[in-house]
Amino acid sequence: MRRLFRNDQNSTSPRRRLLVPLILASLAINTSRPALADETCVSPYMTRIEGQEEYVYVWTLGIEGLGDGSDKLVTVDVNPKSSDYGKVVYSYSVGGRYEAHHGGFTDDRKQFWAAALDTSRIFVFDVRSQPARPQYLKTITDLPAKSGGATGPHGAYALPGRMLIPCLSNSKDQGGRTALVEYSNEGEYLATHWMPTRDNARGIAGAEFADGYGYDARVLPRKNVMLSSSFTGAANYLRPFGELVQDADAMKNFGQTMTLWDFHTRKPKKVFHVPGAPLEVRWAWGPGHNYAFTATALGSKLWLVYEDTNDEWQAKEVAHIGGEKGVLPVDLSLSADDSTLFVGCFGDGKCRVFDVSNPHQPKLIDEQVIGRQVNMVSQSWDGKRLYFTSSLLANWDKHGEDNEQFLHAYDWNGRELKPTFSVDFAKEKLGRPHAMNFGSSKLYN
Amino acid sequence: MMKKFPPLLSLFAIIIASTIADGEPQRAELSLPRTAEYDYDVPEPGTYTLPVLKPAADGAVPDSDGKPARLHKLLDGRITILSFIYTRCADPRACLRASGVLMQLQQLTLAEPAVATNLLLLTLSFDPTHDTPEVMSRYGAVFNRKQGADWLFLTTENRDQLAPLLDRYGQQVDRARPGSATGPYTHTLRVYLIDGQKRIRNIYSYGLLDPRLVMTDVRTLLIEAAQSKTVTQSSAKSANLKRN
Repeated sequence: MRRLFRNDQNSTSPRRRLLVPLILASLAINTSRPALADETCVSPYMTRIEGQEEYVYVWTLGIEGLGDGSDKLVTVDVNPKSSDYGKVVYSYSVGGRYEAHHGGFTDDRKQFWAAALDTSRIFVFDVRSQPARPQYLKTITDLPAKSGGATGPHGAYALPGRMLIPCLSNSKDQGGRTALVEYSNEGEYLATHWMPTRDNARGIAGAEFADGYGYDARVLPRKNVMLSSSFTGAANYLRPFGELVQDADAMKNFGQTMTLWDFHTRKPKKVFHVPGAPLEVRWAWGPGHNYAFTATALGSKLWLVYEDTNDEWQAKEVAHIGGEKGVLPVDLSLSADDSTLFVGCFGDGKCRVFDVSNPHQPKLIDEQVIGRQVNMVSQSWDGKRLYFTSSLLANWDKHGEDNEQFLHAYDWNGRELKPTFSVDFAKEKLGRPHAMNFGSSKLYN
Repeated sequence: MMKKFPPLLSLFAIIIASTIADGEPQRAELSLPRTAEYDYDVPEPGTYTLPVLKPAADGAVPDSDGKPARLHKLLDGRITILSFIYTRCADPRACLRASGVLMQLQQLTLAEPAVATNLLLLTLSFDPTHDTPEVMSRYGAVFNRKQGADWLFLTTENRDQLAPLLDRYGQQVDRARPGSATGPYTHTLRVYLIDGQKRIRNIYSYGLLDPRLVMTDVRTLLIEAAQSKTVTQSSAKSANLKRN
């Protein structure tokens, strides 16, 4: 073994005696970084916005015959001090309709990766050079081939130097059996982690429930765990909703599970039976708050996945979200202080707000109609601003007058939502607005 | 010549140092417990794989005496933990934290000569204007126990030499707002695990820079290298048998 530099004699310099205590003190400081703004559901590994967000990037589905008909990344100026406040200031069309869904920034926040469920493309934008005008860089098209058949990228979740792509489907049968796929920030394929199934449960707890389905995946670093949820495959999510619900066999093909993983090894540890398609995963942020919420779209229930007093992970239903027949809850936003949970309910267009200071006993404290349909909800870190969009999936959105397509912005005063501005995406000939991510020029100098 | 050292850091150090007894700090434990921040048991080395993220970039890095050296020469043949820092950083969650973790890693290798021999700790400044080889040498004297794994404290000659390195490693560095209390730069905390073939195998950031995990990854790469060597030797034996 070559050793170019040899160690000298051990020494204890005066400066070392002074600084070692400081170094030791630094090691005791919790490095989870609070921020004054930014979304509350962002990856814990990502650079965060401090202060007022300036832009909301809206990953938007194109509508045939409306504008250019293409999926596009739309920039809305949300800085109250700007002369363009509440206006669309830029949009970039990707030249086709690919079922735009979710997206995410790389950990250094230089790039935004926008995932598309149909054709499994991921569009990569540079958001650093001109934060108001994301610059298209490239399209990743090799996910199905490189991953061994995973398809339907749900979104993109920042890990240090890489992106985690939770998928929904597979190229073999377009069903719900799927995987988590990793790419480097440079866009090179790294690894595939298939969701556990009963046939390939790898001896984990809850193996009898393992259905292999996937949707969201998020990490709680201090516990070295990742939690994934489950939805349905392309055969269902690309099909018209009205037709799908009449097909009893097809309706059986929805995820019933959540999987807890050892994050560092990317190995599944336990499968929970969570019936009714558990979608978004929202980990609490507070120290010692070892739990996450999810909502089941078809069951209309709020679930808690938590570590019990014996250090065992459990899942339990903690609240009914609304409606006798359900309200199709589709997105969640947990406040940064873990006290308030906002639930976007597509079925009746309402946002339901729960006091979750006791996560085991959520209490409904407000419900408010946002529109005739509502999907995503994003919240600023200070809990004062919330943004809602309307579109769920191209073939699942409502029809006629109910097919409103909007971004609505609100202020939250702790009791109710007060509207601030709105963008009509149909009137602006943009399309169906889906995922929202915050941007700021102050991140870059 | 007046010594350059971060005033905030020095002040903080003096305050803390005044509260403790003089003399050598307590010898670190040779194993580390779970903490509130890293509240889990680490996996067994060799029970998982670390994908190759990308090649580790090369560049000119004068050594602590200012003599020319190439990064690839230093990386060749042993596992490296590479940490980008700048000595003027006054954010205790960032550069100081990274160097503190490397210090823990060096201490962990005290009980494991086989790991120490095969591991290089490398701290590289992204502030060449201020962090000259002399400054890095003084900074290194604070952290380096000079026992266990080798630990180098390097810089580049200028920004032209530095820029491609930062770009190729993906280390983001921005100028901070004027008057920033944490120093003149903002940056993503990143520490890189590089294998003996000069390939990046993991990147640690906030929430992941657990010295126990890093050491487990180092051991995993050592197991991988040993297995690869065994396979190579076995293949060579088979080839020789066939030839004979």
